[in-house]
Amino acid sequence: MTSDNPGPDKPSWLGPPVFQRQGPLTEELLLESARFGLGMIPAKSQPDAVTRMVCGFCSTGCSLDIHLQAGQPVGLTPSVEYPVNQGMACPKGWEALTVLEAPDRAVTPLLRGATGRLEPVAWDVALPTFVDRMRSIQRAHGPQSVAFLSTGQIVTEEMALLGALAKFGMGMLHGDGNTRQCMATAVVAYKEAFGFDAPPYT
Amino acid sequence: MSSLPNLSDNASAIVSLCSTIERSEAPIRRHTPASGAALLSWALHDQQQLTAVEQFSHVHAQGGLPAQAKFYRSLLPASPPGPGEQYAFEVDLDRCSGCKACVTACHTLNGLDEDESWRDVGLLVGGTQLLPVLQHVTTACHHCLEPACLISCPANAYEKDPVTGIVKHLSDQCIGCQYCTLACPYEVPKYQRGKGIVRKCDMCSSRLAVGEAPACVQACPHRAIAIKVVEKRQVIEDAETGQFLPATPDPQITLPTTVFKTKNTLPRNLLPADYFRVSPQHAHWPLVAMLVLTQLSVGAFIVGLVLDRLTDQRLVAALRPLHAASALGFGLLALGASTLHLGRPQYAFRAVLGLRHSWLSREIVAFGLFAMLAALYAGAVFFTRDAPPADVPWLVWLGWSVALTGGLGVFCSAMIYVFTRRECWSFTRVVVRFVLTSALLGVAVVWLSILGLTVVSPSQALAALVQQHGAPLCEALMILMATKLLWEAAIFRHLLWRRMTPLKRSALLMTGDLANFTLARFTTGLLGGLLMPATLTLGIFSVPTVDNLLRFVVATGMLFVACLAGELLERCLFFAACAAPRMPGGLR
Repeated sequence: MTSDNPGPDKPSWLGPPVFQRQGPLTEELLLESARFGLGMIPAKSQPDAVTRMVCGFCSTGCSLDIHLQAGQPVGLTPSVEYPVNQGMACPKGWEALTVLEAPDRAVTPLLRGATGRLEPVAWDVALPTFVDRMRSIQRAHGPQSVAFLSTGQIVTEEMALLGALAKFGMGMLHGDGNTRQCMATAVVAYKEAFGFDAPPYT
Repeated sequence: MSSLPNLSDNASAIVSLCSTIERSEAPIRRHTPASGAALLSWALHDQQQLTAVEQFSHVHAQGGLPAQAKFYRSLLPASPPGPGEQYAFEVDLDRCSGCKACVTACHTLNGLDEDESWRDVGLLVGGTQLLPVLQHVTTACHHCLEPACLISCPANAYEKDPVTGIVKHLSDQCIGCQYCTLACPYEVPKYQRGKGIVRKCDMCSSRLAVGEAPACVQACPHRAIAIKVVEKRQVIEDAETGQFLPATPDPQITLPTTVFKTKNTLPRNLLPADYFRVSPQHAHWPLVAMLVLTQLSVGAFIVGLVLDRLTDQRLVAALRPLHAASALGFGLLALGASTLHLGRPQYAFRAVLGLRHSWLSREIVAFGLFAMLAALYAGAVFFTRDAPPADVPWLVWLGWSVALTGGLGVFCSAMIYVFTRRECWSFTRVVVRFVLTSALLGVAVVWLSILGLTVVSPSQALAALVQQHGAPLCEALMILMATKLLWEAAIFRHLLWRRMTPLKRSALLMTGDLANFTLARFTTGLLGGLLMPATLTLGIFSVPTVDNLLRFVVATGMLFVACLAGELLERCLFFAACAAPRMPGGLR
């Protein structure tokens, strides 16, 4: 390793198959300028449309531009002009499409059939069934017999909508965030480490 | 929400509830809505146009930069590198939070395979109990001045751009030999099993070419990664004084250009978070077979030639054709095994292109020559088997040319590993192993040939050969094997050291995760190289007669098989227990 510029031999007189600069493997990594002001992205996943969504991983509410090909998501970039995340995403946000390929992802309502197994059903079956059963339970046991457990993975507006739907629409009396469950371990650690129950402010 | 078009309060509330906003490039239709319903539908339609993005899109189409550029413009150099300069990553350690957005963005924006990313984030830990220091480090290819990947590549599948200094891998030229993954001290080129090639970071050269930032630079929320123009002279000076990053491979090896900067004084006891973790490396089975069998073949030819010189020609004449044929057979088997290692064996012929810089190319050329000469020699020995030696004086010269090219091949094999500058693959360590393997397997093949001939066509001459030279052959084998086993066992002395050196890691692996391999290696070595020859010396040298034929066959057969198995296991450990240098890893 002593040469000043250890460049490869330049076999300009050699062509394929001996020396092959271009080909299918190179094309796989080809980047092209996308439309929609996205900058360069892989040629194989150039979008024909872009739709915007709020990242579902936490309640910060980052905005992601989902790249679509014929209505199917093929990639994403964090929304540049969105005030919450300003063109940035955390690694979970960057991987927000990965869950779409999860084998156990709920893509259709499931109803426990006569065999006792969960079977996929249409929404116009699922929704009336859900309403009927909830109503019958509430009729038989009173409004306090049903409660809802929320999640930290929805934004404040959706949380408000959930509360309104459950309380005013369905007549529920009780609801809780999942924070009491999922933060319980963290809370213990916070108390032991800092003496109080709150994340450290960095 | 400054980016959204001007909407009435009502409409904007609706917009915020609608989480998906379709955008198209349809021309913007502007009109003043008359009624409330029309206003709403106008507002919905108008926000779907997202004019701000369209403006950026328009600007982009005219050669401008994408919207994201406003965040990274200051992270790119104002002008391209001049003479004596090149592009380099600059990592501001004070800004890196270890969030790994760079890792995922590299994966996504470059369209890489599942589990593939060209950037990694590691962690350095140190400091005191009262002031602990956790220093995250984001790292990718260092686009070195003397890239080990490029120099080692036998197929010329790497290029260093003369202007930007970016080290680029040519996917379609790669043959998948994976030598660069061993040669790079920073574990940068990564093998993609499904594709049969290696891939690595090219600093998003196509983005830089149009003024866009590399994916990692774009995605870092803390602007910790920037592209800078560095002076090559400065890189060399920094490497001279070891200025790179604590607890990383010696920058002298490849002259990496990445600049890790910090305003803080890093504590002296900074170590990678995974510093004390030892994990076995890939064993590379085809390489194991290839190395051991080429060395066996070369050793067999040389031992055969030495035997020719030292013994009575009448005794050894009958053995010579079979011995040469089996040596050749193993040699060809070795070359066949080596192609199994390639991700794209159909392009194996490209492996000679790097002759001027790659030890792998040199090895292939040397062993190619060796195989040709060995085939000629084995053929010549067969066809002149009945001629007196005086009639074929050139045969000896042909024989020694086989030995010479073979020896050269083994030397090139050794240099392939010496080139990586790993401590466990130092010149002495590799050469001693390879030479001893050649010698002791060479002797073992003589026993295999004797065994073969005993079974196929026993003769008086053969019996006399065994009687006269059996004992020295066994003694030679025992001495060679004892030396080799002691040499290999010497690594265990590093277990006594306090410091976690690469050799201590090897010893820890050999006594820990790879203990079964180690046990098997020493057992087979003792069996084939000491116990069996000792048995032969003690009992058998009264000619292999009908009475003791079975005993003789079993003893010599076991001798050869155990010796070969032992060397294969040794070579397995040679790869699997060799601690590779690397950039700091994370907590795992």
